[in-house]
Amino acid sequence: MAVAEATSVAAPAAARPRGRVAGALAGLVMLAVAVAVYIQLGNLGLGLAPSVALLLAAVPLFLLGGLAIRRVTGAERAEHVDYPFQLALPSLAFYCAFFVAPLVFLVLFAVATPVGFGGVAYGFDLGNFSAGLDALYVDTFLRTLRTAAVGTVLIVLVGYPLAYWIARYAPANRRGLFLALIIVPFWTSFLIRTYSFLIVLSPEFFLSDWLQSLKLTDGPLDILYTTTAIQIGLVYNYLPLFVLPLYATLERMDWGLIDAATDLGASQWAAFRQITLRLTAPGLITGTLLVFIPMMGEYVIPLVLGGGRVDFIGNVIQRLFLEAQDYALGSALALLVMGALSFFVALYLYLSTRTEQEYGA
Amino acid sequence: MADRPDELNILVPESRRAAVQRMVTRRQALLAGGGAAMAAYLAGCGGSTGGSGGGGGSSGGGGAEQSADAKPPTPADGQVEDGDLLLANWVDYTDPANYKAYTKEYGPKVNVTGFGANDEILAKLRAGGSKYDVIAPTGYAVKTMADLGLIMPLTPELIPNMKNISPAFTKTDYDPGNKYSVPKDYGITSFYWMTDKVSEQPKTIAECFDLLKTPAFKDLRVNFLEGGTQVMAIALAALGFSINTEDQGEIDQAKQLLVDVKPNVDTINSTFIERASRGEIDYGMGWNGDIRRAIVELAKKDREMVFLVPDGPTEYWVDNWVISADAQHPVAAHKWIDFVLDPVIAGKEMNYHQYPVPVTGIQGVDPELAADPVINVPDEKIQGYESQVETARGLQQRNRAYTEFKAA
Repeated sequence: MAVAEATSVAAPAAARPRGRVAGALAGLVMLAVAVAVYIQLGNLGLGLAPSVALLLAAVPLFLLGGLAIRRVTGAERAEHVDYPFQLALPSLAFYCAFFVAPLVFLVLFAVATPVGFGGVAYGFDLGNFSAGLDALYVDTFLRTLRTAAVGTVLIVLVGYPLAYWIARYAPANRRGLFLALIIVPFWTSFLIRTYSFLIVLSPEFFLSDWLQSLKLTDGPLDILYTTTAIQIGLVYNYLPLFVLPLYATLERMDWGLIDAATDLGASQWAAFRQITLRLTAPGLITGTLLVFIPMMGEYVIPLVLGGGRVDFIGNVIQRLFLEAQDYALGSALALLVMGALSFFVALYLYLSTRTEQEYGA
Repeated sequence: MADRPDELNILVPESRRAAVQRMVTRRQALLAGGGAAMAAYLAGCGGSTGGSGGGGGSSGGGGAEQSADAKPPTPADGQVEDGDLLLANWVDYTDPANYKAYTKEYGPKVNVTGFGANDEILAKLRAGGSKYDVIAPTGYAVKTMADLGLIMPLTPELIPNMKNISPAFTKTDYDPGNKYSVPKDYGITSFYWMTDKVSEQPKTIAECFDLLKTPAFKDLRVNFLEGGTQVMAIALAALGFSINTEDQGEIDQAKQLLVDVKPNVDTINSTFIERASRGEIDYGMGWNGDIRRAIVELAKKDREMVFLVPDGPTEYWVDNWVISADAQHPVAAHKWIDFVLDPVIAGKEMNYHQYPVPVTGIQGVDPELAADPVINVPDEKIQGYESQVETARGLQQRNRAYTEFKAA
């Protein structure tokens, strides 16, 4: 099966790489032209509205350019051309309005020069980016990265067994109930769930008494306003986002494979590692990313549960916008963080495509 | 997100209701509005928040040119407009009974939007379309807003009670002659502590910081206020510098002082009054009126907290009532300002938020409150204090230093 697939794909694939390289080069040239044009745009000293209008007007031109490149290099022929494009229009419109347009603002601000109290002089100034790469902000980013990474690992450790148990061992007629139990808290406002943990983790709540009577802690619970509290808050708030996609893949698991493997002498662990883990890898990867990326942007939990003592990178950006009113540096920092996170998204795309190719969706 | 934090509903056990309500207090630099600025960033990260945060930035010259002098601020007939009065106020900073009394007297209902920082409300005004009628900014923000043309000059004919303003508050640095603002109340920022935990008796802000460096404070629960301008002002005062300095060397020294005490600081939070009232903060930085609330609460449980009215420099501030240049109900707004300058209403206000209201002949103030040295700061001491003046450069320096303090 795998061999047959490989050979059938081989012929067009051989023709494509050269076209792809040429296409990529042409794309780079186009990007260089865009940057050059944009610098000139900055030098025109236009106001905000004309700059945005010009930038947005340029988007269709670049789309056309991209299409032309694809046609010329033949990248198009290898794909399905009969996909009904209209179906994508609603989502395209949505993303243009709420993602591309704000992003254009962000870019405009990021290369502008701040003039104080939220004002900026539009132009082309990379100073904001070098200021954003200052050790102070890099350290804050790394701290955020570390906390989010630990949070993600904890969520995997808590969430995987949970999803596994529901999918495999929970009585079939109770599964809906268990899933609902996971989802229902998620319907409550994020802010309220976070504030509720101020009460849950407080030394006066019964949790503290229980832990003491179980001799698990010596004194009253003393973790509120610490990194531990932040970590607990992260895990609690994001757990459903991980469990649901994972459950979706675990539910489709054919447990007969495990029975077959153990019948043939594999240990439970080996069967899990070689079959379950691999077959659920797509859900695992999706869930991991789904919790990791928002955690990196988190700023409510550190503020509320961490007692505001330490910043996540999100808090720093928030303060740059709302307190220092330095939209330029705030935007540049936001773009830098986005760039860094894009690495993880790329990693995700790579891993998920690979696992899909290897094991099927 | 929480665009109207005054309408936040929280599910808590009935027994904790009073406590949670108290958490929502003045200058709660919560997350209100934080959502707006974060939206652009979140959208970039694949988050789900919709609004375009970038929209908040009007260009530099935009606001300044519409100098409010150019247009007549209020309709000449002085008739109160139809529709609700939209008021932007610090959270829990006006007696709700006074909102009702105003409605009874003048007609318009009062709709209140809470905010947690002057810069937050400034950002909202600059973004435009906010439609606030009355706002309660601190003195330095009044000046910034007036310079940017975001608030309108008052029409004195519509505010006969203006004559009640204490003379000392008619010639402030930020708004001499009350052209744009009338004072709401005033207070100071300093340190407080539980006497059963802290036996020392520092007399100045500098001594408060020295004390904080001692190892014994490791075990105490210490809270700082949040916000770059706020925290830096106190650190600069401790070093004897002007709280408004733009000298980078002085800023750096103040930052170093903060970094030095950071290991003993447990929380940095302006929503601390509930905790302080339960005696869960041993030592901290706060505003005198808020702290008085905590002192009264703790006294009921036979615990003693003291607030230092320091010798030597600290921050002194005046909060004000102003009218937005975009106000839809300017006459109703003027009536509100006239209303709160009434000696009886002013007295109710003072009893509620416990900060002194500078209205001559103020009536009905709880005598204990009026005499309390925590809020009744003698003039000769106030002479030694300093109010904040906001500049774009100073703001950036302070935010940077504060971020370094937080990272330490």
